[in-house]
Amino acid sequence: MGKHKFHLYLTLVTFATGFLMASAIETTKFSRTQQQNSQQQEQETQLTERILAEKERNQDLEQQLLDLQKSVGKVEEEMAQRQSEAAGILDQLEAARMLAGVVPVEGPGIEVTMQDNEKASEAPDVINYIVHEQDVRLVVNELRAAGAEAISINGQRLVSNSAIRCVGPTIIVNGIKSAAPFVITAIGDPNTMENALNLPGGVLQSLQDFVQIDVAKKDKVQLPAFVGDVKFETSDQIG
Amino acid sequence: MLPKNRKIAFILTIISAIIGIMLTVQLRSNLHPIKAESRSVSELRTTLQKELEKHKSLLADISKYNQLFYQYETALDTDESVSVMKEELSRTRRLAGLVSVEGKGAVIRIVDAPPLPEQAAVDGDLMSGDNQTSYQIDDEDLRWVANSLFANGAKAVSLNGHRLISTTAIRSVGQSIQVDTKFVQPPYEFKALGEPDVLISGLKLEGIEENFQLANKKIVFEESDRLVVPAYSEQRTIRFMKPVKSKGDQ
Repeated sequence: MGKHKFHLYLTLVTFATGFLMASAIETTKFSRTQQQNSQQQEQETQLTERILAEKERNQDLEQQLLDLQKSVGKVEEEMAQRQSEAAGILDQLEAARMLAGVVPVEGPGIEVTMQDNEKASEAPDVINYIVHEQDVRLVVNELRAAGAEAISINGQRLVSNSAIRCVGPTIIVNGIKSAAPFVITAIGDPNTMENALNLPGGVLQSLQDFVQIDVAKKDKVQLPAFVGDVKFETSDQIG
Repeated sequence: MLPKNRKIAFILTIISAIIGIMLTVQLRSNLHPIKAESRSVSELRTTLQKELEKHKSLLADISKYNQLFYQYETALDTDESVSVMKEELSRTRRLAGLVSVEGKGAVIRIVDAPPLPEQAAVDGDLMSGDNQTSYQIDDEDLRWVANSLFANGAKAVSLNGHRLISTTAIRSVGQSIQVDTKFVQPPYEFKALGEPDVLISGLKLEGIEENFQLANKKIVFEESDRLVVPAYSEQRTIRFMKPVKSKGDQ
């Protein structure tokens, strides 16, 4: 009888000891992960703060750049008024700048908004109902063929070496990521561009059944300038 | 009796200790799952990096325009300022793709693949009759290659001698493919200015070879130290867009 009692006590005590030991170990481990988590959180806030600060600074810089472009433009215009040769060059220069996408432009145009179909999550073949990069390229290509003079996607101006990429639900243009909806803005003849998209068997018809796509003609749209580094070394040029 | 009893006690001790530890561990890990948050940190890092890059290119652009402004201001006479303007014009035309450029790059040719001997033997009857009707390269295939080249850092790309610029459309018109207003015929050849190995490995990584195998085509890559990408040759008149002039200071 006494022996049984002893066994019972022993069981309880060792059980408790085991519990305590493991608990102690886990607690130290837990506090460590907690520490890590709070460190991570701190890191996150720090990063977010830096990103915000950097964005603000970039906005200032963008404004500075615009002001500078304006004053350069003024000097050029003065020159053009004084001399006819300068006037001819300025016309070419302005055209080249607009085509290169280094200055903001405005004009009549069209706005195409693309986003995943609302039914996408319920459909058995989800893949058909989300916007892919080739869909965006298809619309852009059609707009170009219809004479679009300048195009931007979610505020990123397309220039001569822009790539359009999709990663998951985001689109990457000029290396800048942005989320749906994808807004494609183009300057050109609004009617021509709309008709081109609406052609029977055309872009709109083939995409409409799958993704949500809206087209709106606009009297005036503004496209931002491309900010980036298409840098040709001086030795690149030959002609 | 006594040794046997001790043994039981010993075993009991160990077992209950183990059970205790296991229970605790289980409880603890159920109560406090370790959060995985490192992903958002790395995402934030990339965002920050992008902003920093933008900062750098903004500064570069600003200094460029500053320099231009300074050159205009310090020009001694109209001739000199006109020549400054001409320089700026040729630089901008280069950016727009209106000037041919030369440098390191890669040539990507999409050519007919010679039928492999063993493959021809295996699906001989499959290939022989179907060759004409098999998958044809379409405009999206070519757009995809061009896009991949730009995504891998190409500075300038031409397709069969036609420079691709910001307004270039590549589209199927009937059976053939048109680049802007010019028709292009196979074999298709891309010339891309950039780091040759980056361009080529980038395309391979994205599966260009597998993609065009469907059309029974082979990709021939060629690196070049002196590659010439021609200028955009079509005449374009700008009718709709004009530079944004702000309202305040006209």
